[in-house]
Amino acid sequence: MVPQLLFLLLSVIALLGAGMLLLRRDPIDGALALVMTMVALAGLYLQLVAPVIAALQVIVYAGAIMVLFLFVTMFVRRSEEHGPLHRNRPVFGVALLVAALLFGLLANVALRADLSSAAAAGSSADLRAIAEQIFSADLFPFELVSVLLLVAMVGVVVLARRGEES
Amino acid sequence: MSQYVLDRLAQELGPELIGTHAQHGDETALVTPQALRRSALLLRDDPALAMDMLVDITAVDHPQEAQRFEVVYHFHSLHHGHRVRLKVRPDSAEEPILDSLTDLWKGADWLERETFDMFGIRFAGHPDLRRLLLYPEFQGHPLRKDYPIDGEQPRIPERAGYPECDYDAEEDSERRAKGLQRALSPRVGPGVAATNGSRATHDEDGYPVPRQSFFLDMGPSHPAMHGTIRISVELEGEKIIGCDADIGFLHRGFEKMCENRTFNQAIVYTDRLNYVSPLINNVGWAMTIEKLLGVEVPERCQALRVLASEISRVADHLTCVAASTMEVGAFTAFLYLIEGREELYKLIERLCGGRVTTTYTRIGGVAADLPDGFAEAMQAAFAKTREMMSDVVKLLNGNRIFQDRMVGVGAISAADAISYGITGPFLRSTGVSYDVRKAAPYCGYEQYEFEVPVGSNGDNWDRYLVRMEEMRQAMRIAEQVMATLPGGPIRVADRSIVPPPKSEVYTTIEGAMNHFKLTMAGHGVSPPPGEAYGYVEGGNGELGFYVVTDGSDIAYRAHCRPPCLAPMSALPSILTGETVADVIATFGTVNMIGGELDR
Amino acid sequence: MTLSLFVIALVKVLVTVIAVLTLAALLTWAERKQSAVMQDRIGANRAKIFGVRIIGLWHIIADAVKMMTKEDFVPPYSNRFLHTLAPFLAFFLSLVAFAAIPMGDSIQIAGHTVDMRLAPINIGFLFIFAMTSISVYAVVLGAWSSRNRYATLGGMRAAGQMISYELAMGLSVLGLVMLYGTLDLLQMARAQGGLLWGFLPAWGIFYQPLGFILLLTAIIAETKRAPFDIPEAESEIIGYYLEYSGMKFGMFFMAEFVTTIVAAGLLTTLYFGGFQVPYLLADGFHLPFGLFLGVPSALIPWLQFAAFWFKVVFFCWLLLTIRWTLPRFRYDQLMNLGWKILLPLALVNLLATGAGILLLS
Repeated sequence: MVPQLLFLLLSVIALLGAGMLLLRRDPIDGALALVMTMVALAGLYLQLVAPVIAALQVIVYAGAIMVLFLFVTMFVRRSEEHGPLHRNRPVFGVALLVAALLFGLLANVALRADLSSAAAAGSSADLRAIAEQIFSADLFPFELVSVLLLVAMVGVVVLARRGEES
Repeated sequence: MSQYVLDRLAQELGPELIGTHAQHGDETALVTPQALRRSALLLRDDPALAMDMLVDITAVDHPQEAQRFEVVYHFHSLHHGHRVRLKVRPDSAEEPILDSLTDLWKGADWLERETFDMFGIRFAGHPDLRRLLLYPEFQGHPLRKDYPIDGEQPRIPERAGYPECDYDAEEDSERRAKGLQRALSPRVGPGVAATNGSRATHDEDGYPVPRQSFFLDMGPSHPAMHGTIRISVELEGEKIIGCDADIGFLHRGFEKMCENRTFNQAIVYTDRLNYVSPLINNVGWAMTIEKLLGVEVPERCQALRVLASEISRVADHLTCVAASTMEVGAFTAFLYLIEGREELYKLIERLCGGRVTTTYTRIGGVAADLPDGFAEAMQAAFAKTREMMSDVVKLLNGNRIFQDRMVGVGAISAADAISYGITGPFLRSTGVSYDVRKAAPYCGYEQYEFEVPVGSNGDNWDRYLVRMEEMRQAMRIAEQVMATLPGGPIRVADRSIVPPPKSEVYTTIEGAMNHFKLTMAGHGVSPPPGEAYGYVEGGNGELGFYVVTDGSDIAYRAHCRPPCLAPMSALPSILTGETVADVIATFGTVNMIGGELDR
Repeated sequence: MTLSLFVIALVKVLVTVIAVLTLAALLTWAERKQSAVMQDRIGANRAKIFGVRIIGLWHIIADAVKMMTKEDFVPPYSNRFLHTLAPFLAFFLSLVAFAAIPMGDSIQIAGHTVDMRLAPINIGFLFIFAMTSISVYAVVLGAWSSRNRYATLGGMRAAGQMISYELAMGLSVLGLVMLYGTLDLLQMARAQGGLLWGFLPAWGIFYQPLGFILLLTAIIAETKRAPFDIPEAESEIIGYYLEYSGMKFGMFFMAEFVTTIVAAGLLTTLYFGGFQVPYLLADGFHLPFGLFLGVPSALIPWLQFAAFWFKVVFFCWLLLTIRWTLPRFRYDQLMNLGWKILLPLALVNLLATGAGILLLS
């Protein structure tokens, strides 16, 4: 009974956060709503007996990435100056299309995936298992992602520098 | 000073030179307004004159005369050691205007602003002629003779607009924006002013482009802005891209008050100039008046003045170093140094009965001789100070964090420092060995052995080290004075200057009359008509008093050249390019003292 | 059965919260008194009840009363909800982080194995890191909702600083994790029970001296105390809690002290043997040179409990001493230290530990 209630509560919080992210006008509010969602997700991971993932979710997403989001938002914009939201119709349409595509892709993956084995893996997902998974079975994609991130980082530095010069 | 300067001016200017004199040893030249820039250029660029420092600018008001104002410039050549006073009378009494010297000496900027503020004299070519000490709404110019001593100002309405607890008055921001030396385009919204002219503030659709910078007012209520001052900075992240200092919060009309009180009464006001080393101010004022009177104080009096000055100097430097260490977070070092200063204050209290309001000197002498046991007390106080200093040296000198905060931060070049008219430890930290006690010894400083420490980089670290060493040297001088203290009287014998001893006042009619006369309004110490500039080495550098007399017992014009004005005027340019945290560290080593800066 | 478990849990919560909060309150007094001693001052001593001063201890109560009765000021135009949330968040997160720290070895009560920590979390310090990493929000929200430029600067400094030093903090501990093969703080503390070379307690610091120094540095930065107090540099920008008054400010203040205690607890557990008493095994003290001193087994949990708190108090003292000795960094210097010195050193430490484990095993 208690786990079900907890699951319900966390899910509602996560969805609420996601909804607020979309609907709030103030970017700061949006970022905070996203943090709420991420912490709720961490709770869900805990319920799935995946404490490491839960901790990483909080440390990395809520604790580091979203803080940077907030940092930049607060610094670049002060919320009192956000003017009337002007909807650019064509861009809005494209955004809707992309969102639909992304949703379709995710739904497709979710429906096709063999959830029973994933659940089994998740329940035994201690740090060792995760490490083994990453550094043996999925080593190549993992390294690929690191290289991708590195490229992105270099790109950002180059762009920032260029902005400084001009 | 040298007659050569006047000869050279006469030779170059011809009829443009209206007159010269060398009263009390101060070479003075009166030139026409048209010749001001030419003579200034000559003074600066002629290698035989090489007046590289513009010491002071002020003015004297003569309301009865056609050319009402007389603007007075003091120049000094560090290279040759000579000085000259240049006086110029603007033609018009209603619209007095002169050429600005801001492009020749950087220090002219604030000095001309002050003269404008106090007298309403304009300077053509000044980039930013705003009031310096008073507020923009002030009506009139207080040091003009027709401004009454009890003149009242209308209440000014609250400046418009505090939209978000962010001070944002349009006019004030415009006023300051000029000081930030950045052309600011119109504001786009509350909060922060628009970005600078080179950047667009609105995009093509008319939406504001996010601002890259914001303004931050540090002070006048800010824990590190002791002495009350406002430093406005424009920030990009932590980096300062524009800076302005707003002073005058402690302005209380020192000069006006000194022009309405007798010479001895004005000593009380000098306590409040640099209130951490008031004894030096007392000495400087008394010496200037004695220069006008043409009297020499007795040897013992001179030695006592040296002693008082040096104790005060240690206290001054201790305060400065302590405050600047506290501001970089070394709170413990601060309290150690203040503990040392406490002993010195007790010593000063023994000497003159007050810790801060010393009023120790009199025209023609000092208030009192040394109390019994002073030598031992001084020894003990110095021992404590040395102990505390050595603790601080151990805590800080090898501390990497402290070094990182100080080394290379707030640096100024020697040439710039001279151009700003900076003197004292601040100038010496750049490597220029100029110390009034060595360059123009007074009170017998030439008898004592001491070194003048100099730095090389002109940064916070050098200023810290120079001040630490100067304290050791000051204690060394004080100990020499104590060891060689001559006997004799502590005041001059001239009864027109110093009242007779109380025993005579109470027992003889002549004594009572004499005392009565000297304390009666209109009959006090009255130097002959003339003018003099007297200067001593204050805690922050050259502390000068320019006094004009008309033969009465009240100064016709009394002007103080505060040593910390010049470094403060240089501060905005020093800080630009540094970070917010450096504002505090650098401001600490400038040792701004509100009392003398704002007068 | 469940009732007894419930009672045990309740007692644990009460004991921990009371212990931590008491120590935090004492730290407010200790900070004043210790700084006073270091600075040749007398320190707080004016509060008295019936003329009794007990070396200024009443000031703890006086401060609390003062904070409670002050006006709770919320600046106009600020977001009242976030402004109120921030101090609560700061206090809650700092306190809850302590839940993962074991104050003693497991004991048997009424047939249950009871962990001497609030939450038997087997990811140990990851949990603490997670809590400290979200505690950034408390600072950032407090700063942001105050609508004050100084506070905003402080909040931005705090965000940058805490993110940067979390990295060094995590990496510096990884060496120990590799060594002990666990993230569980209780396991780690247990592993430090033996002796090294027959005479040294097998504490983490003797295996990972560099790691200890790195963690100590990073953890002071995480607690935002001098010399890393730049988010609240009172002489520069006054700090992120500039617009807070009364007990809300008090909660930020207490959160800082609680974080100090958590930091001390973490340092103790990771590098100073946690609850381990040197040379004390299950039956008594095994001193070098074959000396032996028996201890009744009922006493051992108490000794461990006392040893843990003794070490925590020691680290609190150390952190206070550092705070009152060193000047403050500048923001860019702080970043340089974090990214260019601590982080590479932590990586080197990690590599060396890995190599050592490979070679020795």
